[in-house]
Amino acid sequence: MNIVVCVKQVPDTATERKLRSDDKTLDRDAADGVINELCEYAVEEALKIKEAHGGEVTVLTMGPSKATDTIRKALAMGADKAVHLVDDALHGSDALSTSYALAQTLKKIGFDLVILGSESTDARTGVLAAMLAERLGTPQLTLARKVDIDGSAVTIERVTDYGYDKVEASLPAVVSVVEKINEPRYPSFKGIMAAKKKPVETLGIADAEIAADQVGLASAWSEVVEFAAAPPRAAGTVVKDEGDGGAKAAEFLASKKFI
Amino acid sequence: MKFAFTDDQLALASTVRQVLAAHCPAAAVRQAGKAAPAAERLPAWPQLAEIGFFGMLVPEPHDGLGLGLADAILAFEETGRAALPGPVVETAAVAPGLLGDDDLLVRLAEGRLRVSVRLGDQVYAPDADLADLLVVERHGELRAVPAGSVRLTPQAGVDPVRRLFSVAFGSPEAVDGGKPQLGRRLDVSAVHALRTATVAVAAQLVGLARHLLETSVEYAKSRRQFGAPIGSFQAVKHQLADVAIAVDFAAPLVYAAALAVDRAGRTAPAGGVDSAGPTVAVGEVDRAVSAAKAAAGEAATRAARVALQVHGAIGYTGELDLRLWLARVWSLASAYGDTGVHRSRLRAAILGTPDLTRWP
Repeated sequence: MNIVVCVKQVPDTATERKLRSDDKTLDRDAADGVINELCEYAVEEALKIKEAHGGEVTVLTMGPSKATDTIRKALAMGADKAVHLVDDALHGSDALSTSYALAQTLKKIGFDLVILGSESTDARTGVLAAMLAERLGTPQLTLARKVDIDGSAVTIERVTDYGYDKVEASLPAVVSVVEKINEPRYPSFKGIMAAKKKPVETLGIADAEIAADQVGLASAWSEVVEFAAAPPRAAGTVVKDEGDGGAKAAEFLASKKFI
Repeated sequence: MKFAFTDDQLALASTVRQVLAAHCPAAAVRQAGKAAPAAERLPAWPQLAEIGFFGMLVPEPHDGLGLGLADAILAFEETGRAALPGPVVETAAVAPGLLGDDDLLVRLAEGRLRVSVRLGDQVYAPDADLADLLVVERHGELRAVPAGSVRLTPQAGVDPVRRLFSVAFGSPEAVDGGKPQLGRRLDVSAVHALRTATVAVAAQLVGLARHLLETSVEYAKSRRQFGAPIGSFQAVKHQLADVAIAVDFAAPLVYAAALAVDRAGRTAPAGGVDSAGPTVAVGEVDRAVSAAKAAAGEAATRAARVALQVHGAIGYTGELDLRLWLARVWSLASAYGDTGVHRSRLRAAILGTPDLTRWP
C-alpha cells in the first residue's frame, strides 16, 4: 500500500511566535522550526499500517527549504522516502490554496491512503484534510482515534462530542488523526543514521503542475487585515478582609453573575 | 582543525535528551537512590535500549552502530545533564571495547547486558549491584566475571544513586594448567577502556555542570532578596559567569579528547569520525584525556559549589532535587582519576616525568 503522510514544519510552540510586519504572514525565521506535533502521530500511524499491511510510507511536506529538518525527522522515525514541495510562489498560501497545491502533488506522486494530523499548531484551521479529500475526490475520514484497514476498506473511529462515530470507506481515502490514536516512537539511532540516505524529491510548482495564479499570498481567499499582540493580563482586584471579606467576595461574584 | 558536530551527532544527542526528559525526571533519579528493585533504579534504560543507545559503540556485525566516541560524546553529555542512574558509561562506552568480538556484544547492543568495571587504580566498581557482568583487572589481566560469582560489599559513597562496591572473588570456576581460573580472560589492554571511561565521564560532568548552571540561573532570576531578584546582584552574576566560562572551556577539551581516543583506538571506527586524519601519538592521547577530565571535573565542581551558594540553605536540603546533581558531580569528579591526578599526568605529559626531589 502506498501511504503518503503530509507533515508540516511549524514554529516551536515553546518559543514566542510572530507575524511579519510587511506581509502579515507567519515569521518562520523568528523561531526554530519543528515538526507539528499531530504530524508525528500521523507518521506513527502510517508506520504502524505499513508494519501490519506492508507497503511504503512517503512523507510529503510543503514549506521553505529549512523544512528539510522536519522531513529528516519523519524519515528517521522510519518513513521510506520524501517529497518536498518548495517554491517561493507558494509563500503566503492559505488553507484553500495549500490544499490545491498538495492535491496536485498527490495526484502526481500517487497514493492509496493519505494521513494527516487533524490540525497544525500554527494556523490551526483544521480543514486541510476535508479540503484535500474534496479536491482528490476521495472519502474523508477525519478526526480518527483508531484506524483499521481490511483489504481495500478502511474503518475509523471519529472523535465526537458525545463519543465516537464508526466511519467506513474504501481506499483511496484521506484520514486525519487526533493525538489519542497512538504514542509516536522516538527515532532510533539506526533510523537517524539511515535518514540521510533516503531519497528526498524536491518539486517546484511547475513540476507538480500547480498553476501560479492559484497559490501564494496574492490569490489567498482569506486575508489578515490587522494583528496585535495579546494585551498583558490586567492586575486582579485585591480585597482586604476587614471583617466584610465574605460580603465583598460575594459582591464580586454577583457582579460577574456567578451567583 | 575545524571541529563541528554533524547533524547526525546532534540528532543522536537531542533524541537522548527527549527520551530522558520524558523517562528520567528528577523524581526517577531520586527513587533510584532508594532501596528499590533494579527496574526502578534504572529509569529510561528500556527506552534508551529501544532507540539503540547501548549499541552506539558496538561494531556493526554485532548489531551495533559502529560509531566512535566522538560521535557519541554529546549523547553521554546528555546522560550527565539528566543525572541518569546506572552503569551508563561502563555499559555503553567501556564494554564495547573490552568485549572485543564476543557474542555478548549482541546482548550489549540490545541493552540486555549491564556491565561494571574495576580497572587500573580503581578500588571500587560503580553500580556493580546492577550489573550482569563485571570486568576486573587482576594480576595484570582483564577478566570478565559474571556478577553472581563475586561477593559485592557496598562502600560508603557520596552519591546514593551511584553506589560503589568492593569486589571479592569467590571460589574459582575452573582450573586451567594447574592454576585456578576465575571468569574468562579478555585479550585486550585496559588502556583504551580507561581512556574511554575517563572521557565519557568527563562528558557527563559537562552535562551535569550545564544543568546546575541552568538551574542556578533560573533560581537567581526568581528568588528575591532586598527587593530584587538575587541574580541582579553583581557578586552572584560573577559567580555564575565564572561557571559558564569554566564549562565553555572544558567542553571543547572533552570533545577533542574523544577524537584523540578514537584516532588512537583499537580500530578505526567505520562510518564514524574522520579516520583519515593525522594519527595521534600516545603521549598526546593521554594528555588530551587528562586535560579533559581535569577541566570537566573542575568546571562541574565549581558549578556544584556555586549552585549551592546561589540556592543558599535550601540547596543542601534533601527535599530539593539539586542535591542529586551535586552528589553525582562529587562522585564522578573523583571517578577514573580526580582533578589532581589528571593535572599531574598532564604535567608529566608536557614536561616529562617530574623530578620529585627538586622543589619546583
